[in-house]
Amino acid sequence: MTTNIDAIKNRRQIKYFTDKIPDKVIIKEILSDTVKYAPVKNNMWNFKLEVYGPEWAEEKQKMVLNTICTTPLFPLPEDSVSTVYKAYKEQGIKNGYGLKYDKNIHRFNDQVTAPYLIAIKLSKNTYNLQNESQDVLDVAVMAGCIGATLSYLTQEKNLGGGFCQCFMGSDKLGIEKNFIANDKSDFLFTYSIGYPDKNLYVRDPWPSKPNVNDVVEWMT
Amino acid sequence: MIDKKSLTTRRQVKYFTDKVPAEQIIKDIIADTIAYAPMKNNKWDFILEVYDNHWAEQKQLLLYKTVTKWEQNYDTIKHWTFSDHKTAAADPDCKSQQYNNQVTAPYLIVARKSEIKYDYEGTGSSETKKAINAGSIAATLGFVTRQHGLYGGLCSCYTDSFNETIPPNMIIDNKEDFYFMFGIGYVNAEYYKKYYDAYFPSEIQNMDLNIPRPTPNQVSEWMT
Repeated sequence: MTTNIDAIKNRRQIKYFTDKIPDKVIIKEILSDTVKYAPVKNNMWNFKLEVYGPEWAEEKQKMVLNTICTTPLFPLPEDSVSTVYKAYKEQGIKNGYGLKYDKNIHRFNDQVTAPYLIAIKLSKNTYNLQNESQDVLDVAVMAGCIGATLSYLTQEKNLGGGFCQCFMGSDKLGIEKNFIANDKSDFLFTYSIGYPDKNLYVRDPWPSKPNVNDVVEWMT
Repeated sequence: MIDKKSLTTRRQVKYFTDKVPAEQIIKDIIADTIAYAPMKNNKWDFILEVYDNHWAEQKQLLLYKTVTKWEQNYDTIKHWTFSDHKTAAADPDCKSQQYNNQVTAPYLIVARKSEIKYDYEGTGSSETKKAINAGSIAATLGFVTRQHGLYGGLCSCYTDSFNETIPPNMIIDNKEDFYFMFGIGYVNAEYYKKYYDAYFPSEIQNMDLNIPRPTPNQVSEWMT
């Protein structure tokens, strides 16, 4: 395999997707290559990947309410989550979702409504031939390895992908349960795949990447 | 140019030659990793510490604390002297016990949990989210290292269970302090050929054929 793809360099976090559905065979290839090529300690999987295709659109639309973004300074609203979501969509249609977005309205992670949604959940001994025990944070590190690999292989297929780690349980939010994810205790993250909606997509004002000296120390 | 070959030819490498990669290559690997790895909201709750070949002695001491699967042999190993560990680690056939030799690579990167954070929004992260981010860096380091023509090996094994016999080192002194270590260098192909009876780099991702990779159906479920 020698195709130059710049998959790592060109990968971007995508939040908005078109309705066009990627070929199921391509999604299967991405998953197969991820399982084959991602670094996973001792090939030990104490987590699993659940794949939700386009036929799950209605449940994804329910799940988007679980992805409300809160911070200590911007906690859960007093209004119902569905009311806040409606305000979010109205703002998005009026002003766009990116830089012009009103910061006083809670955001949601629309990427979970993509044609393909992969939910990565804790699942003890999914594949653990040596019956080795593993700390939950070590499991999360391995899931992160899978996440990065999924994103590069998705880019390699000229598709867009988006992560989501923002998730609150349905009971806590007082919302209708969906058939994808309701409980925070086993939820690690989701990864969405589809064709980026270039008309809707305006880059969110995330903080810039760190400089090398911000996060690296050369030990002397 | 980054190509798919860097993903498909990445291998977990444990044994490296003494040849020291150019410092600039290591700097490029780290810079590319920071620039391209997916990180939630660009938050860093850990730092990457780089230990070069001047730390060889400390890495050698660290090696003994990366003893693997010691739990099942604890009753034996607990009686070992430091000399016994040295003998076991030097045994290329790994008859008595295995260690994670990749920590002795010319360059060792430690992803250490840190109070010095890069968190522009100041909103923090859960412990699970921090670990997922660290994993994203680990995978990207592996692919980018391969892209630059070198090999790497991840390690998260570390134990303080034999502190009475294994002396401390100046790199790691607590399992809870780090997410992973990553050794970088040139693969010791001769070593693999001689002791593993395997051509390297192999078409098979993992060298330990006793623990094959799962098939997609074993770890993923297509929901219907």
